[in-house]
Amino acid sequence: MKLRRLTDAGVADFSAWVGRLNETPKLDPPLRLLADDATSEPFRPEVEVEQQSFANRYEAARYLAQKLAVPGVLNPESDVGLWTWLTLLYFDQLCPKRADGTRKPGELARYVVAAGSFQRIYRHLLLGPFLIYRAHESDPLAAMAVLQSPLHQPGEIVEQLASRQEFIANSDIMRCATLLYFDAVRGALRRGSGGKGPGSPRRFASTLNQYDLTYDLAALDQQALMDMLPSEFDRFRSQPPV
Amino acid sequence: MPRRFNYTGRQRIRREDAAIRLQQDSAGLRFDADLRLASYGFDPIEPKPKVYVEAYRGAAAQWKRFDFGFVDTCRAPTDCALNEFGAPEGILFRVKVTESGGDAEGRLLAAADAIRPRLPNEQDDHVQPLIQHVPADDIGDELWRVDFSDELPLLKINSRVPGGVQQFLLDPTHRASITPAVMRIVLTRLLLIDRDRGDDEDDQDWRVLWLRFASGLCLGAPPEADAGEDELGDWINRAVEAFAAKAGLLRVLETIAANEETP
Repeated sequence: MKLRRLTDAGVADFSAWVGRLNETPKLDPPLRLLADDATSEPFRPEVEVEQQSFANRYEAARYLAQKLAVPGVLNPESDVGLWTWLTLLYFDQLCPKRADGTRKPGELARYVVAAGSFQRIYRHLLLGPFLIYRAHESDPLAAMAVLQSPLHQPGEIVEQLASRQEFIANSDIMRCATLLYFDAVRGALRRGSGGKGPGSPRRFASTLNQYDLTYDLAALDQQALMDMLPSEFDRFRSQPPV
Repeated sequence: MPRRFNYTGRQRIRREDAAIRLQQDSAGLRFDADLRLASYGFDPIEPKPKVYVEAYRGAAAQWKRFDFGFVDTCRAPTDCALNEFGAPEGILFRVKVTESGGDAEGRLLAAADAIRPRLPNEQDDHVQPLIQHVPADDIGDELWRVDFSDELPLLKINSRVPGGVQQFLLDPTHRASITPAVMRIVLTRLLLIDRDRGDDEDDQDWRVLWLRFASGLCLGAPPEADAGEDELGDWINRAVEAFAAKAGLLRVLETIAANEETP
């Protein structure tokens, strides 16, 4: 199908529907907004997209990055209508039904990019991974720690590291996080990396914030960063490289 | 908790030595930086330290780093574009001087943080407001909110207010209601909640600027940091009252009401 974008009216309608979904959790997504001329319009230039399933944030980001890397597409990240249309298209993956048929959407920022709310951009379930993927385009697998999770469950590592743009955009920091917490053999986070204790992603982010007072983290390479980490990270640092 | 620990002798770059201006025209948004680093004693250091300028907005979403070369030949790169930031409001800058080699590579030698640039078309003698305002889409039906999630407090105005954000702020009735409330929120935050009065050595520290403003309303300095909540709260009330009196806020409303009654 041809890629479209929601109009302001469409974004408003969808936002209102997400609010109602929190109250009435068995509502069906308003898919009519995708094609209705009152709530959507063609995206220019013309791009074909498919209704498909993505195994994780990485797969979705790679797909969207490829689709939007066409001549004439400038700053797609700032197009709220585009990302809301895509959100609605893939809503079943972003907010899947639970066993009882209900959905639990959570905050609106997961589905509608809050323009002007710079702090929440990375919380958008599609735009967030897209930006991360694009920031590490030359080696996106280096950022697997923040891209390996399912679309609807970004996880603790994302929550911690997406708190600062300079961390997310720093390929050496991302490689460190991936080395510490991602098991490439299993294609999942290492056991124990979801907690909050010593050596956890929360502690990793906290340690980086501390070091940021003394060091220009962007000037340090991956090895220098790994060497600086205190002993609490040994249980992850000593894992065999993957 | 104190905000600033300096265990490594890192120097603070003075605001007057890191002047940054935003430019915006048909070519887009970019910045100019006038960096004066000769007096900071970097000359003897080998290898020469590197200078970086970072533009950012918000704790999370936007950040861009520019390499200004070595400290003895410091100059802006050819591309200082900031088009991905969109609007110029709310953009802040950091300047970093960093060890470039040896065991201490990456260590910060000097830095300036939260530098507010001159906005496009702003005169050099323009007095920057104590708090900047930004349009916001994320405050529901609230008309305004003071946001402390960034390095500087921001006054968020609902972008959907009828007539637009600028018109909303220019309305004397709105200003009379909002300004004392904003002042109370900010002073409460820094004196009672954060208990952080800022860095006396940084005359651009927003906490210092607000306390200096409030103290200058014929009040004198606030009570000591270990004063009780009631004592600090009383001082805040007196500061807000003094501001309202000096600005003649009640008189503004009386005048508006009188004008409306006049046929």
